[in-house]
Amino acid sequence: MLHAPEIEAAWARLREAGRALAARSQEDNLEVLARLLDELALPGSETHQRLAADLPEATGFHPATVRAGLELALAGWTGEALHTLVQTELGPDASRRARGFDTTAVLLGGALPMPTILSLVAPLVVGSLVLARSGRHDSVTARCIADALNRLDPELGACLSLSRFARDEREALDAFLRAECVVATGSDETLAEIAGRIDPGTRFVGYGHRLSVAVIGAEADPAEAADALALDVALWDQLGCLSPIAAWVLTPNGKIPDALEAELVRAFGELGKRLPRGVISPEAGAALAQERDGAELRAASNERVRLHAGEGWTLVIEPSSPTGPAPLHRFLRVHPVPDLAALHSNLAPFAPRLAAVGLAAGAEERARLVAALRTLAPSRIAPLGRMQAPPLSWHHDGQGVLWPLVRFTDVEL
Amino acid sequence: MTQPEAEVLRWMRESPDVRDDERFLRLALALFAHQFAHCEPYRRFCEGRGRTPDTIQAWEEIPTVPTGAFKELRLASFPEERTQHVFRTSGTATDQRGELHLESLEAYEASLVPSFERGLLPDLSDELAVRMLSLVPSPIEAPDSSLSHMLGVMHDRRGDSESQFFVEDGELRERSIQSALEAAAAATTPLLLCGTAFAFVHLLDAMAASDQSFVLPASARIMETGGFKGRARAMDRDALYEWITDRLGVPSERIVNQYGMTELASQFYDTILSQPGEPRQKRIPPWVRVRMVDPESGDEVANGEVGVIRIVDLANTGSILAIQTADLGMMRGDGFEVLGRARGAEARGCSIAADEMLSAARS
Repeated sequence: MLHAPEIEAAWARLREAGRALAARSQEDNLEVLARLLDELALPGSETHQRLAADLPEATGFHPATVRAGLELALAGWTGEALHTLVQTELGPDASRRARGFDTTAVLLGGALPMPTILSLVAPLVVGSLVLARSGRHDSVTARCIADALNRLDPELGACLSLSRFARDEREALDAFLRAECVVATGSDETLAEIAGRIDPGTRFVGYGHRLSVAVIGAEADPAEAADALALDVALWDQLGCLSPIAAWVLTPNGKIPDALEAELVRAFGELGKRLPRGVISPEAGAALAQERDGAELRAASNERVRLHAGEGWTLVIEPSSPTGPAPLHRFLRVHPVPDLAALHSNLAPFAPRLAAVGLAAGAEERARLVAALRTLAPSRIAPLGRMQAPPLSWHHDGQGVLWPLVRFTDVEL
Repeated sequence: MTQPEAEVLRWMRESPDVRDDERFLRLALALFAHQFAHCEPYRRFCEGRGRTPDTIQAWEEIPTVPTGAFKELRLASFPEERTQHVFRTSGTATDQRGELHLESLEAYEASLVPSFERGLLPDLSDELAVRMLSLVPSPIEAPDSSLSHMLGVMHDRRGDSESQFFVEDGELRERSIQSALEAAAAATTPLLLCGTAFAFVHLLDAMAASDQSFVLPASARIMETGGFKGRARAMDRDALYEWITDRLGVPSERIVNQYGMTELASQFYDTILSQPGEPRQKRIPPWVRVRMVDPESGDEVANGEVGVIRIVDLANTGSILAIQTADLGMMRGDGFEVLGRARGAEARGCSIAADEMLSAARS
């Protein structure tokens, strides 16, 4: 664990490394970072394999779940996708119009590797020096990225430094936050605390905790929808902001079709074996037990409530909405809704924090459903089964990936 | 009143300090049979698990209902028209609140008195009046609050003429409580200051703002209860006790935490006053059994290991006697310890539980 003087020394070393960076073109840096992403996307690459090997112990996710999650999510995060992102967000003359901040402090959080990877790579893309603090639940990902970058290009690798300091070490935190830009991932409480500690002139980019939901249209294929939903729930054990915490099924008679229910039970059971759930804390176990037993009690008295549970998963068919507490860790409530108006009123309370909606729908109904869901303004409407594979260009929290990390200069002469 | 209920009442009134395992088992099985027969949702739940009065021989086998279920179902073993009193869990008007339906307050009150007196007034004779200052609404103002009711019973039983409640219209009467504390500091009557942890924070904030502090008499004692769920401000229990000591002059060994919940008729008090010098733990009344279980398997965990707290409370005569809480704890000696939820811990993920979202949407 580092203290304030060591954090200040880390910044000094980064600034020293920045001198060499200043002599390089952003295009050169981009090329190196694109190679880094290409390497990560390859399941057989050294960095990908190291992540797959080391993340389970560090994060508590099952090895099979980590492998599946990494393969699915990283496949689209290629060097080419990075080049496209830069072109899309910053334009063809990016280095003249947009300038990254000299220094960016990145406070990482949670155990999911994807946000960590992007939080480290994005500021480097815009030429910023990066000092990052890993979260308690994942000390692996940032180290893997830093090591891979050092191997690919030591000069650029020197522009990324990792630090660890105690959460309550205020002086170290203040030293860490002495950057032109601060990127933080965490709860509202954490983000508010960070925002309150930084200079008003500092750019603050906060990624708060969010939730996602799944919607299954009346014309969706039951087996495909069930497999896709089970995968989105299983990956990262439903802990990510892109994990659906509940599903709504459009069904004109207000009852979940038997075929879909049976397919869901099959799919959750199969995936529970293929991608077992990871470890859970006693607190999480207690919350799960409360909700599971509560559903069992309701199911005993109401035939429309049905509880299905297996090794590490729980599925509750619930006629009532909106949903009750969602304990996560592969606990899913499935609610029937008769029409789009009911769907909208069910989802509206979640709209302010809605990250994504995963949608399974028949061809005829898809456009209608997308139009209805867009009114809730989630930052993604994705095919069910792809919720854990956002494109690199996904507007996380409705923001750009690179835009918040640069200052634009508009020349009007 | 059924025969088992009458016997539970007799136990609590006549020999509240006597632990009797055989008597407990017999009454637990009899109450289970009664509740199984008269509470339809519970009966179906038990049948679903294959547990019926015919198949159960140990109190540990009685199916527990989660506390959250009291928000969704009427879990009572008597007809609705015979309901005399309903206690509700705290929450706003838009929150779904848990309800404990009671046909009679007899068992509830018979259970609370000996536990309260043993936990908080063990050094005082039964005849001695106590200055009770309670940082909660009175039972008249909050008739559905089990905490207000409990303190109302004790005010009537042990409080002196200056005993008062200090929450009105949802607001803590800070000036009145400070005046009352000033008077109590000069009085010879033993002082008992009761309130929720959050109310104490509120009071201490106000005292800090006016730079006020007291040195309450050495005989003063404090009961704090409840957590900070749904509150904008929360603090660690050790820090709270330190602050209480600093502002009120009451050392931590005279501060008693009470663990209770609306869904349970019995309460648990720290033994810090009743067993001075010994480690702080929650005392289990003789008509209650507590187990710590693995939340996934439901198996009992070993002594000293963390588990979910399950309680079988014979005082829950009219509802369900076997409850599974959402709290974690650890058996310790003859009692147990309630473990606080880890505060400030970093989340493993970035998803929000839906109840948090719904709360945010309502506010």
